[in-house]
Amino acid sequence: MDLVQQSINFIDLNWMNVSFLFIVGFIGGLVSGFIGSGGAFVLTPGMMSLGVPATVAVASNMCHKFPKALVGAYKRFRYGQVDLKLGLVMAVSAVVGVQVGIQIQYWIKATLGPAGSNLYVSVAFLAVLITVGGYVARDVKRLSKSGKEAAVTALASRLQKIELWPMITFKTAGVRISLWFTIPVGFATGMLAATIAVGGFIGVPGMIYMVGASSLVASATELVIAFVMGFGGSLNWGFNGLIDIRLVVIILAGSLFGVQLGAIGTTYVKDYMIKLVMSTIMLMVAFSRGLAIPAYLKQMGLITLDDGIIYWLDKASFFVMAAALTVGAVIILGAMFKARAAEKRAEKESGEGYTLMKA
Amino acid sequence: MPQVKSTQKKKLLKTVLLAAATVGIYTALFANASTVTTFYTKGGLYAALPVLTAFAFSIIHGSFASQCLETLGITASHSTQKSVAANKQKQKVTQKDQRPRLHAN
Repeated sequence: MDLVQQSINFIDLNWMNVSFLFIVGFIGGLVSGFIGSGGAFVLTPGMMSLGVPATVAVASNMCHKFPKALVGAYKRFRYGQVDLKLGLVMAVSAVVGVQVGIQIQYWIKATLGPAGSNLYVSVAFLAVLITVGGYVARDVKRLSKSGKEAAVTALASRLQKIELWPMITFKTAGVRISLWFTIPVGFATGMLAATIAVGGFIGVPGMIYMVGASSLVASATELVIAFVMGFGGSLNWGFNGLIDIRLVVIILAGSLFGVQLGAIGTTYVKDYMIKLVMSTIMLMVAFSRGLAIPAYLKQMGLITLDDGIIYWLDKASFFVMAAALTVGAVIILGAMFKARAAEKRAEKESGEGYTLMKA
Repeated sequence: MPQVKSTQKKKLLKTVLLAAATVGIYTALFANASTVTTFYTKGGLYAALPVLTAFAFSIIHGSFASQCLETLGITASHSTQKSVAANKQKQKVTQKDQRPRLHAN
């Protein structure tokens, strides 16, 4: 009955709501097109801040995610960046991971209540984003100091040498590895997607550091996994009648521009820039989630804190989360337009004419 | 020079047509918002409706967005465009029909 009630309590749309969703959709799409994931963690709370019920926000976000991922993946496929085989192989284990993640969420909600469930999600955010984001940030620092292009990691090289049937060759990624080593990466991607709505924060680094794909190929291939997960999830939510198609198409209005712009941006930057944007967003979002934890601890009766402080921590948490996406977008656009200007200057100086080809 | 102008005109025309299609689908949806919402939230097999709508919007609006960016001159880097063109050429060459032919003298 509650779900049915929520499904008919779709918000009234005004120009402010529409503009907000369009802009957040654009920025989320830009980041997704560039690093392969992102946007969902701002869109869902963003919609909820407009008064959209939580389940409708999650359902509508999911229904916008798969077409956005489809368009982004297609664009990057044309640039030769997507390893379709790797994406589909990992999508299979990701789908299983999503189901396990959902069951864990149900169990925690039943055992610890809604506050406990929120605390679990926030702790998961912190644990994964600080660990993985910190590792990627250290890698970026090392690469920018050395000035060299990223090489296949020692871990990935070792895993690739292990001949464990079935061995699969992923042509675009330039990798030959046992299926068994792709499964945990795909599974963890799905679990994280079910827990914090962004599986790519494990999927992309997993493909880079465990499977041995480049940042370009990993971030592009992640869009294939996102498409499969989003499509399946949308059918599930649609079956329950919880998708607000108006919100979906408004977000798509911005995100389909953003995702293609992000994809174009990847053709101008060095490999490590993708890692820089990803690690920056991950660490900022981790900080944002850390600010939200005291509220859940208070709700569970584990700490006492003034309501005023809780209110401001909640506002600060949302602000930092929105800032994370915005900072990512600024880095992407800045790097892209700087590289475009340098390209134009170089061509002018060399006196080369260039006939624009469709790309 | 005339060739470049004609290519630009064609791009602009394509952009305008796709813009019209995009405006059309958005208008159609929002003009019938309450009917759409009623059917799209029925659940069950009606789940196909929002999913197919999202696909349709991604094709039409996605094409418009792509064309719009291209018309504004925001395209992939020239090195990427060159390698995409080179790969296409390579595929054309490798797909050449190699079957033996009978020639009458």
